[in-house]
Amino acid sequence: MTVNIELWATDGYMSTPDGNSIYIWGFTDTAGKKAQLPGPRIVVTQGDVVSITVHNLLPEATSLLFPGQSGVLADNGTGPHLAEPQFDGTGNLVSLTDFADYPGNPGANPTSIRYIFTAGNPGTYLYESGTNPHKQVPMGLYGAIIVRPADYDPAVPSRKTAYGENTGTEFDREYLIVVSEIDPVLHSAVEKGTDYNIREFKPRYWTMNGRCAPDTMFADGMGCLSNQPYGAMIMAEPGEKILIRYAGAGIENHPLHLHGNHTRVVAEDGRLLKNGTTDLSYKRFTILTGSGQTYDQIFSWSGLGYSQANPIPTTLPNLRNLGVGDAGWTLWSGSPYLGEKGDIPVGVTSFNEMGEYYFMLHSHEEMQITNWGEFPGGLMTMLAIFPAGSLGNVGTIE
Amino acid sequence: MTVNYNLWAKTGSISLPGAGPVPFWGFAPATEGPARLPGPLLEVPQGENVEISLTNDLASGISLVFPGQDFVPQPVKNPAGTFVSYNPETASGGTLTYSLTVSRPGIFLYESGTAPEKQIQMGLYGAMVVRPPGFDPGNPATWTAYGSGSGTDFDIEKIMVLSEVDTAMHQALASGDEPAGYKPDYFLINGRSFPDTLNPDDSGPQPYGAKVTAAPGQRVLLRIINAGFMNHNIRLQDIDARVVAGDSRPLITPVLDKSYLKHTLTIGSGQSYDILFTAPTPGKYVLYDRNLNCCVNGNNFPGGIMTLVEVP
Amino acid sequence: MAVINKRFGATDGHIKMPDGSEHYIFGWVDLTGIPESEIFSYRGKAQLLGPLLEVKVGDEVYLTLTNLGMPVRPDLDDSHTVHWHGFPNQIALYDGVPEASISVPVGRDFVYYYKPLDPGTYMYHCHFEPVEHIQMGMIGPLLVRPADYDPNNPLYKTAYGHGTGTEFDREYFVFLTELDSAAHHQVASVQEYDWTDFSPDYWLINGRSYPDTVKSAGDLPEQPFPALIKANSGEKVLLRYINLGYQQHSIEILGIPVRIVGQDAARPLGLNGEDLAYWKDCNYFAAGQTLDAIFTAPAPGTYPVFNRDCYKNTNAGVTPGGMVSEVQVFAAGTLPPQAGPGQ
Ligand SMILES: [Cu+2]
Ligand SMILES: [Cu+2]
Repeated sequence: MTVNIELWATDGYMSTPDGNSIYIWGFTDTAGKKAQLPGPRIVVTQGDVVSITVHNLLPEATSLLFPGQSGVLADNGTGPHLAEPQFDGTGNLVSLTDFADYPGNPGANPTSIRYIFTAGNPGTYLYESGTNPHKQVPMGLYGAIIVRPADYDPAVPSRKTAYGENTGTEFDREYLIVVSEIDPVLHSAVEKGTDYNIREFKPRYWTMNGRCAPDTMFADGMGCLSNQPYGAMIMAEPGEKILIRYAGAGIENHPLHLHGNHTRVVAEDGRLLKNGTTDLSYKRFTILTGSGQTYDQIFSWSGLGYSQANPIPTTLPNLRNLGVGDAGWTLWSGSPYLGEKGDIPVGVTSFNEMGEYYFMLHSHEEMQITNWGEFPGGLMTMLAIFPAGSLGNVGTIE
Repeated sequence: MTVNYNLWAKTGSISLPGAGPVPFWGFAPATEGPARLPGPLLEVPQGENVEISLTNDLASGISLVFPGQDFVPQPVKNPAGTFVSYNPETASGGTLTYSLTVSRPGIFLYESGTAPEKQIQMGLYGAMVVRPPGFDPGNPATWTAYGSGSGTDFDIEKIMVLSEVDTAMHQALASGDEPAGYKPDYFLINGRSFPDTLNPDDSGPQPYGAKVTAAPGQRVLLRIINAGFMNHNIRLQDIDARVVAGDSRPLITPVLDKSYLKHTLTIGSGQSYDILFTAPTPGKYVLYDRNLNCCVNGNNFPGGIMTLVEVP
Repeated sequence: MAVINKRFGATDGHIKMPDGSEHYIFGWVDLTGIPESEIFSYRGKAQLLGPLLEVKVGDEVYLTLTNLGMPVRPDLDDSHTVHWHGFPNQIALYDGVPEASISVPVGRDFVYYYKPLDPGTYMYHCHFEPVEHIQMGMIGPLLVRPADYDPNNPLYKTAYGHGTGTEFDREYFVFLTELDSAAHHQVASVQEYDWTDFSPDYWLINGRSYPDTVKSAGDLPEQPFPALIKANSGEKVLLRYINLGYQQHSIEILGIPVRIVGQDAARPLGLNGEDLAYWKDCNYFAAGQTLDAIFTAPAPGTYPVFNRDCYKNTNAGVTPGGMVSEVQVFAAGTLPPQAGPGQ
């Protein structure tokens, strides 16, 4: 089928947990709204003809690249043709692909452009600007595309997969984490129209799904993060198969380390790591998420079976002898056992709901888990393991 | 059999878009004529003994090493026991012959083993391609990267040597000053920054073009080797490319096919990858560094590590 | 299967770089077996790297963390934790993340319990304000032997178990970190440091920079892990690469390719058991990753080990230095059997 999507390239603001409001460029799928970070998630099915129209409201030309798709067509009013790098009259490259001009440009090219491609392969992909990408991509003109396999059926476990039945990619819940960096000097230079030297690029914030920790742990669609709609908390029950899709939208490579268990990388850049029956998937505890690349991984956490009946082999010291909630808050339940809560010192707020376990997922380039130097922040979120049967319909992407 | 090469290390000057002449140190294939960036491409059949006679017209001692090759380095140490160079030095004004047997096919660097943080940055590196048995330059039917059965048959081959230039460091070292750290402002394929990468091969100090031209259906082999100090994330836009070798180890063997598809590939310093694709429908396809701040010349986009695959 | 009791103290101290500069660190001291009355004499004696944790699959490991405080910075009452990086299926209580469980305040003890399940190369580190505590030096190497490990039987002296093709005669750590001397100076002098300004000027293997990397253990008592790799020609050498810095590194051994037989404490095996081990000349890897590499020692000689990002082969801008070491290969039969990892 044909999926029609309209995006507006516009500006807006993102907020950081330390109280900064940072000017961004980005996409929205609603006319008249401000840009969101990252752009709207696009979920389609293998075989779909995807038609994405970009309306440009920015003060310069913009465009979209679709890495991992092939045969992408562009139509800026003259009919669909192969999307190609664009050169000006004197042969200078002006965009990596066909672009939408900006309103008020005397050149008077159309300010909207339509891209058309057939989603040939299931997987995780980015869409991102191909015009002044060294500026426009860090400014926020990127988003993710998930392509479901043609036989995808969430009601049938063997067909609730990342890459199709019998590819070994079944999952119970799935999460998408798009990572990037923010150099506030770039953002403010673009806002004020002043010069910026790309050689001085120096990120002070790092984002997961457009948010800096601890905002990463908040749910989707929080009112106070109106332009950063996507949370990045991973929630699971013991033994479930969890699919995590990493996408590197920034300029840097980030080593993302998940506490709790190894993951198995089953695909890179939206291509299953299989040649016929030969399986090339691999286990890691840290995945170097390369810029412009995607990594799909599946893991589960089963624990070691501790319970009141099978107690831990050490004695928990008195609370007075422990540090709990050094920051004034904690995610700890107060109990070593899943599904149980224990004492938390007076004055410490626990965000633990029902004795779930929390494990950190973070960049191991540790300055990236700060907000401009202040820990905790940046490229960090949590994996929450909830007691069996307690999680409802979370970990779905639509 | 022995293959002999003569190289002259000398000072020279490269031109980078938007910068004045930038001094560099490089290898020249002849006593007259300019030093090249990268050094002359050496093409050798597997199993040969290679002898490289290096004449040093630079002011300081240099040496040659062959990373990834089967050779026993002979490091030189000072009386305190610390490294002076990773292989015997050719003193300023002197000539020394380096030899090695090339025991496996692939794409390799040759580079200076003396103060490499300066000398490699200044340009003392080049690529060597080792041909598998049966490779006949005159017979396209024999063209493979790693021999028959390795899935690396190709019609068009393009070697791409990646690197960076810190022009301030070049100026400082050329005038005998100590550089103030490493902060590259130019990013190169085959010694050139975009759009110069698109120009054809020539006989100047940056003789190697980096544009790929292939007819639809032709098998194109990109051999990308990173002589720079940074990692680079090479993206081939809108073309499905298969990684068929890493560090000159073919991924396809008779027992196992470990090759994989990738649109953006991180290449660490010193590493190489061979990438194979079939030229698609006619059009222009861009190849660039997804580390987008390496797609600039100085502060200007477009530039740097960027080129085109043109399918006419 | 054994019960292993260990006790590590967390405190501060100083290390030296080859240019004579001294740098304030946080770090670990081994208090195992030290009488309670003497543990305070270990305050201020942190080492870089922390003590080697060497355990076996199936062992029961009780690791007591004692927070000895920071004698150089008595105002600093930071807690600490131990995070066993890469340990599967841990419970939050023993995972060492203060935001998700507990930390250990000054003057207190806490017992962590681990039952290692998978052999391989790991690392441990403090997870309290990790950007500061890891860079300041609260890090150490951790290796898990396979259950059938037997150093006296060549078929069972392996990284991943009998029959996994990971036999070795000698093993060494190549533990990579960076040192940002400005950050260490700021912490020592009770000044704020903006960690996003992180900009190292020393690059270390096993807590040392070249040429200290090739000196013996006793030459730098606070940095007890030499990085010199020695073998007799023909022997199999296992290199356990660990990156616990904040940068990506590309490590090359001139003249010696290595075969990667493990990554992140897992053999490279496909789902059907496909052997995905591979050869590499330059190993490019990131913070929080480990690699197990094996090579057969070639002809006798000296083979330079260095970071191919050559500006990391300097000490505060001066060459040679940084992440440089040597593989020294001797004629067969020259060296006696290795006494222990890294020796
Ligand atoms: Cu600590
Ligand atoms: Cu860690």
